Amino acid sequence: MGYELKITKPGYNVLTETNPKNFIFDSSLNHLKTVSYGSFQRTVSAWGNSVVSIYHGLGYKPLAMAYFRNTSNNNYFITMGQVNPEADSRVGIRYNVELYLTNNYLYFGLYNFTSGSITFEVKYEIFYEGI
Amino acid sequence: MAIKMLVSKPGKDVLTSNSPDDFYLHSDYPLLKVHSYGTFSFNVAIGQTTVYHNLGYRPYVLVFSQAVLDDSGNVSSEYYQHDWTISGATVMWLGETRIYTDRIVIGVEQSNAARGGTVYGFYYIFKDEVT
Repeated sequence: MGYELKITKPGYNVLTETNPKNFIFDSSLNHLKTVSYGSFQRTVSAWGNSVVSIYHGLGYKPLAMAYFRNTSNNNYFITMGQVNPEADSRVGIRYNVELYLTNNYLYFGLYNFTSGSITFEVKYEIFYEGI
Repeated sequence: MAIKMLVSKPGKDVLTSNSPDDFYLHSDYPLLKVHSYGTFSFNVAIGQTTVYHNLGYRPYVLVFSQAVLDDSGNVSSEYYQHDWTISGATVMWLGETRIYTDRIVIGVEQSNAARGGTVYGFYYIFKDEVT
């Protein structure tokens, strides 16, 4: 039998707990491992769009997460969350950042559907897990 | 005093660092634990697929897939992060994942594309519950 390293959440007995939800860490399960992370800002003119590429070089499509905001406020949105950005969306914003990826790059498409320029801030993290 | 397990990043002192971002592992902060992962594919005309996890609760999920680009059902080469929904005047695009207590349902559609190519994607389901 192999050795296992487990850390339970407060209030749970590491020797008897079996529910994976109640562990901080369990070496018998895989966890997300970060390749890289970062942030950038890009200004997009009125009714314009821009694409920012991030090289990851893994040779396969990795999991990634990202959030963005219009730097005129502190409301962060998850990428690709926009609905009908050409009109007033359900979340009340008229801009969008979408995240898509290939075997070697992460891309961010930044869309501005307003009459003024917008400076986007994007924070992202890329993981080794993927296909 | 509770025992903790800490693994700091290179250049960070494990004994004095106090930002969670300075650590690869910090037993005060749970890590996402992978339950299952895999790839999927389905025809554009079908528009969705189901993956069972049987956890009994709604877990965290990350999904990426190709997008349907046009009325002919052509698909993108890049993989887009779910979810997205874009409603035009006569057509709607979506890539969404619905999470249930026993399964996830992954949908990728373009409402005018009754036929077309095959959509490919991948998913990660985590042990951790959405609360």
